[in-house]
Amino acid sequence: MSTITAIRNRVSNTLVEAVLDNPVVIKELRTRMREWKAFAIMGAYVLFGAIVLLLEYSSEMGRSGSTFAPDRNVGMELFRSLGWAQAVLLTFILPSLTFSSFTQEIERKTIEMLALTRLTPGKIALGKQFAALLYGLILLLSTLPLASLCVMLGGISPGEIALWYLILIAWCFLLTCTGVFWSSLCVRTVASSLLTYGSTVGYFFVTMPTGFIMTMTNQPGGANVPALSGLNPGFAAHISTATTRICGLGVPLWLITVVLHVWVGLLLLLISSTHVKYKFAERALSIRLLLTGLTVGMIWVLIGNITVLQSVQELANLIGLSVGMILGFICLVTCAVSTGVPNPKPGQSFIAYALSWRKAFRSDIGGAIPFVFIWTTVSYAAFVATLAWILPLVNPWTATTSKPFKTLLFTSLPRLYMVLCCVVVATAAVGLLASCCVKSRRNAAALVLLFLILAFSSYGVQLAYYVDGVTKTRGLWWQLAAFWPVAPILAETGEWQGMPKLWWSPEQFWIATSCAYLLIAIASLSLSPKARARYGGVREE
Amino acid sequence: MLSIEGLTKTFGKITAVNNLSLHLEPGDIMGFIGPNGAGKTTTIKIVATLLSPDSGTAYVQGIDVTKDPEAVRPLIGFMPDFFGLYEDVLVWEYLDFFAAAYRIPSQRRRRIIDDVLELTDLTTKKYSLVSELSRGMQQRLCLAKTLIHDPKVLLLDEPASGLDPRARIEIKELLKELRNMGKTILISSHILPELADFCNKIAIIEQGKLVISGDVEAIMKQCRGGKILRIGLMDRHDEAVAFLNRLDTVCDVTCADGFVTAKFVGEPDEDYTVLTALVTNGFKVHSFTEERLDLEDVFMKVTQGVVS
Repeated sequence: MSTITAIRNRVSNTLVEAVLDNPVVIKELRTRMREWKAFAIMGAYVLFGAIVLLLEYSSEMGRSGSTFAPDRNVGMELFRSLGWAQAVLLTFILPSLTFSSFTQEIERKTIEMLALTRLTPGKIALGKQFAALLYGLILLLSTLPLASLCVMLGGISPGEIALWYLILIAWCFLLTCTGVFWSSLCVRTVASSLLTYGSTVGYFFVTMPTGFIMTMTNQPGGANVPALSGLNPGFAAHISTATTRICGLGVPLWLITVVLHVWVGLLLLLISSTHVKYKFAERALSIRLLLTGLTVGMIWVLIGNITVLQSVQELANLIGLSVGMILGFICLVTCAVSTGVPNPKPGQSFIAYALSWRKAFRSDIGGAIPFVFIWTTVSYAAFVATLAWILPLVNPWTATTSKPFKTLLFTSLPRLYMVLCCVVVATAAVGLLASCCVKSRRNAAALVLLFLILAFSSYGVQLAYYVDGVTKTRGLWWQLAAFWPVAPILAETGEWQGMPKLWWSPEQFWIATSCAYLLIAIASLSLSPKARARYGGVREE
Repeated sequence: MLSIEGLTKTFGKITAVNNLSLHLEPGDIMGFIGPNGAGKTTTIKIVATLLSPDSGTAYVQGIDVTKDPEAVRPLIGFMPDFFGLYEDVLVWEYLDFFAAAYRIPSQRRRRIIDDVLELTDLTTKKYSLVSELSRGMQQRLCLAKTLIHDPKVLLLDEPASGLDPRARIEIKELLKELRNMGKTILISSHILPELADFCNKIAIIEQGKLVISGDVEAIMKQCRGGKILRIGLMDRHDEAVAFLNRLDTVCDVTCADGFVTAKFVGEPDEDYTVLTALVTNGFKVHSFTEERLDLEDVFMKVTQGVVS
């Protein structure tokens, strides 16, 4: 008995010391809550929640046809809208509080002084994470008055609201841990921020349709759903009363979600506390290998959907979605990989420096192009191999003898690989050009590149739509769709039907896009040495 | 108190520190001198447990910095050459954070913070934002942070760099205060005359190798190789040069600006014999002094101006 008491005291003392008596928590909270931004964000958060509730209320009133006799479940519908809005907002707000945890210490040269104190890396990581989590809890608490309005309207019990909040707290925990995790691996804040948002936002939006498809397809009533539906916090909270079966046992879905998110969060914290070395170590190798692993992980989550697919068209749509996600994630992170200080050896040409295979796994922008090429190839190969291996096992209709399936596997996928490589290599080349042109902090080069990518990703079709409309065929502006990386994915999955005819057929879309991006890559690489000679490249602050 | 033994550290093909050995007794203040890129910062960082050596090690109070860095850290106070501060906190909050990080109990923190603020002459700035302090004040605040846990050994890397003359003098006075408190200090600096004022030992390093180390006076004597006499004469300068060259106890005689300079190589206390000989032979001597060698002369003499 005394042993148990001793262990309990030891654990509680350690926890109190690590969390409540942690100077990092106090400092972080002190500096954060002193700024007006903390309160502005909180105000905007509550305001956004209130607007969502108001819109949903108006919509519900319109549906019920009377402002005085609303549907008895209106409270539930209202609260679900509020919950989803909070889940999305937290996904964007909370990572920003932790993605600079360690990188900012490195950038403002305080890391060495911190390292010499008696604070352990784990305690620092936990302190940063816990301070951010507390802010997340304040945000959640600030919406309680809105939640109480929903209870008053009926259809939802306080218990269901508590479950929603519990899942959101677990989601906050994972979000803050992810920021600390990436910041412990990166040296630059810009790289850490891109990786954090790439993984958290990517995870949230990839798992959202996954959960939806799984639940709706397997159990239309949503009473007994697959365990993977609990991956997405918003979706898990949406059907929090549902159960899932694990090893024959019925387990509440909310429990799966909470345990999973807290467990993964703790794992990330543990990894970050062992990775912080307090010095400018050569971390590119571990980060780049992790990146590749993360991409493969995301791919497997996406492929998790295949059990519910019923036709080749659904499979094609899933492939399109997956390739789009891979493309988006790789391009986003390429901003960080390909921007920095150009540092070729004396006498080495800039193009040879950019294409150097030997530098592919070093923390230098030389070798950026080979790295993104290897990364894309490994990720894509994992995707195709998993697809070809698992599909015939779980869905008999996808037997390799099936002609549409064969076309998909042996024609569309190689074409999309070509597009993917060209787009990613072009992104890296534009990053190198931006690094040669932007004469300020190297972070600015990454931001310029990010802006270019975002502009490029959407403008082609948007512009054509506004100028020519959808009815005009072979219009000049519509040819710009070749620069829209998603267009060949749509064409290969048969979704380009109904769009205007172009100078090339949908089957040739991949050639047009690949050529367009290859030209961008060649032009950017050719211009880079001249730009570097003229503008002197990026200057460190 | 601090002992460095056969320390070697390489970065790729560059050897930053090459088989370096140093020894500091309690209360010693050692000036660590060397050109840019000589390996001073690397050495200090290894002692501060921030870098691992390739070979060799350092001991602080007998504790090996490579084997037990956790035990060494409370014993040392490190002030880097380029340091950052948390600019969005108040001065007392900044010190309170580090005091808590060094596990100083909250009851003692307030008094310790007041003490270090008084020592660094920042008491009036206790409730100011760190970002509002001048560069010199920030340097003193960093030193206050370094002292907050009362370390036995101070490792100061260019503590006066980038400061104006007034701020440099203030830092110098502060270091003298620390010397009086009995701290063992290893200090690297480019401003050599300032080091000479309060260091009892110096170590000169070049291309990662120790060129010379030991007591300041002994090194100066070693570099000098004898006393340099500066003799002021009313006239007959050329005759005096010829006369001095004939003496056995004098060599390297030169004449410039009405003064004759000569190196005395006889017994240290018998330099008066030169004056006697000059006066006896009718030379009109109006001054007879010993020319002092400073750290800059020593530094220029023993280093070749190359970096690794």
